[in-house]
Amino acid sequence: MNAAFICLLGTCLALMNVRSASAQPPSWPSVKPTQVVQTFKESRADTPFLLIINGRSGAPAYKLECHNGNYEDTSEITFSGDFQCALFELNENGTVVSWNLLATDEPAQQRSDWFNRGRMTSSQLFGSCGAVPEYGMVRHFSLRGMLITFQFSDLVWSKQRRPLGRSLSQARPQLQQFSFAVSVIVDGTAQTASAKAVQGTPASTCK
Amino acid sequence: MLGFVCLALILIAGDAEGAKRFCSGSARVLRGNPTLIGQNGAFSAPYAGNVYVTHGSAAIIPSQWSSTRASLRPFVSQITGAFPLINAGFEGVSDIIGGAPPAGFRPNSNVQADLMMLYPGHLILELPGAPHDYGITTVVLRIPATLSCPVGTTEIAP
Repeated sequence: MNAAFICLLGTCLALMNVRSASAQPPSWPSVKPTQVVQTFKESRADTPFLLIINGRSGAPAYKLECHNGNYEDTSEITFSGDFQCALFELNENGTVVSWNLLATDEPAQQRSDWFNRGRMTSSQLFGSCGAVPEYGMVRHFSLRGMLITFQFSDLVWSKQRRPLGRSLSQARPQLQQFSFAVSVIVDGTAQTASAKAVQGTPASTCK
Repeated sequence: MLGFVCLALILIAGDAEGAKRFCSGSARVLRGNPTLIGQNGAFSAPYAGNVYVTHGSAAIIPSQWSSTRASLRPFVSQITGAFPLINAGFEGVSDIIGGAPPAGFRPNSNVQADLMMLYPGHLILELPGAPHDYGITTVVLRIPATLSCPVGTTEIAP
């Protein structure tokens, strides 16, 4: 009787252990915190930005790459808008091994290169739109043991108005210059494989 | 079949300005992402202005048009197409096909290349306002004469 009970208990414990192990969140490599600021002048040319995020060992772990809609290379994604960043996982050889991790796992974001908060359009920064949490001047991306923060500042707008779509009546100034700051810190609570979805959406005039 | 193509030509001929070229062939027409309607599409860039995704427009793969995004940009609103066998069509191009790779492809592969591999020789179009996937069907395009007929199509007499 005792032997049977111990055997049953042992089996249950073993099963619980397996279940517990399978429920464990994935373990992401810890990264070295980093921070960079760069100023861009908007023109008909590209606004390239590249940040390699290293792991604790010093080996490259992720690549944050940014361009605007004038960049023609589409080998990974088609960058568009006034400034778009994408985050890719790198393997030990420095080769990209993922799609854009700044897109959430929502189907709408997985089916577009640009429908995520990694892309900035000037209308998202203009006037009160800039203050919209997570879609304006400051955006946070929580994923893989990291908290990545984007901050746009030092905006310079032209006096010349840029048509908003085809309606001249909705024209607004052209963004001529901006500074882009990115910081990466360790965040043990960030466990999703791609960027965690945020609450809320921007107003229709801020798209 | 020829009758359908002729009817499609009449329907899309219109009276828009500029010399036009007509192309006909085969297209793989995917249902697009309706969430994108009303947003700035992938043709948007500094100083180039915003190109908004509209319900009746299409997303394309620029390399199938032997062109870069910059050289296509001035003409995207002038590209129209009809699918005569299914009584559907599109008015203007407002976006570029993108997104994560389809199932079965490497996670770092390019969705445009993947789709061209899955459907070789077909023009690939994505319609954000389509009610469903249209599969492979005949397409008749009306494009500015500056552009060449894209992959999967050949020029036809207007």
